[in-house]
Amino acid sequence: MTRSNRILNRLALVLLALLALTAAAFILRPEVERFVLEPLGLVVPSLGLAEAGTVLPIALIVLAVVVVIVALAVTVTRGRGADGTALDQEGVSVDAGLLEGLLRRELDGEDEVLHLRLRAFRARGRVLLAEVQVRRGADLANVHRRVSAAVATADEQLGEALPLVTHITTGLRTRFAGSTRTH
Amino acid sequence: MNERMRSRYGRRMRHRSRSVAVSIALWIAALPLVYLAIESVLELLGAAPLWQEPLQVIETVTGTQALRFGVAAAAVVIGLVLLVLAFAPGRLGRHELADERMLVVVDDDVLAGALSRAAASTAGLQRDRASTSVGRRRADVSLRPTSGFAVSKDDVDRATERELERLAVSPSIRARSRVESAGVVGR
Repeated sequence: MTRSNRILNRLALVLLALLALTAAAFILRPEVERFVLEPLGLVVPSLGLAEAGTVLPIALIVLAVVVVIVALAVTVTRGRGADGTALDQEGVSVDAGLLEGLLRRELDGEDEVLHLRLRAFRARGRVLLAEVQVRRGADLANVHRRVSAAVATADEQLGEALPLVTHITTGLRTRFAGSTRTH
Repeated sequence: MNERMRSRYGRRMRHRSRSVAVSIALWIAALPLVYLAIESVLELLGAAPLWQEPLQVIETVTGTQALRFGVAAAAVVIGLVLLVLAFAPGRLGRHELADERMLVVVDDDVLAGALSRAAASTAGLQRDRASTSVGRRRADVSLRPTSGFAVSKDDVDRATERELERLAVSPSIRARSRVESAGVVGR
């Protein structure tokens, strides 16, 4: 639900993979020349690192700065998009926590639902993510029906059907809660 | 939620994000470069190197046979792992359930629990005597019956298929059950 661009992630991985493989080819340059380049009739001129003077240290500093800046930018901006506001229009703002409380109240008494957490995201429009933790061996159709009913009530009270993703999952609570019985 | 949003969020929920892998890979690439940059700054300032001057570091790595092959092998492994991460589908064990109002995504272990429940209930067994593994397109239900009491495989198959139809799972799954030949005594 975050704003991470997944295509860019893949491109970054491909780029880094190519960098790693190029570094390996540079380290194994004599073998690469003998077994790959020479049979293909390719000649790669020497990089002339020994004659590079101050160019090499400056190039290394620039490269390191660029990579560190990119690494910092990717790490810091990763997973952005979470927002505590479920609805914000015409001067009216509804907190996601309020909606979460409403859904929890509607699901109160449903033995198979252990926990509900609602988060709001802004990723090409506003979207809500409801994480519903259920008991082991829960009657999934029943859980789905109960969550749908709770969402319908919330829609009615809010006067609007907000884009919602419901994730039915398990978690630490499931591990300790035990399973539902079939008889 | 319109169809475009549903499809986009459905895909995001059912596939792994690679942002952690990208962050880790970038920092792995940054570490040796930062070290070389520090040595470069020291060289430009005319100060003593921490270990060796940048050119000497490169010569040491590319000059020593064992070190050369070791570092190159590590770089090749990292490169291949990154390529696999970039091109592998990265599917998470999740399926979607049909719903008109919202997008509903369910973890495969929850789905497996629901199928085990349906199978155990039909076979008249306790829940812990049925186990299910759910793949992308297939669910395998395994039952351990009580010794001396027959379990109808067809009934179990029908029950699990009925459960899957009721849930309208996407991508669709076919369930297959197996009744173990060795039963359990006394339960």
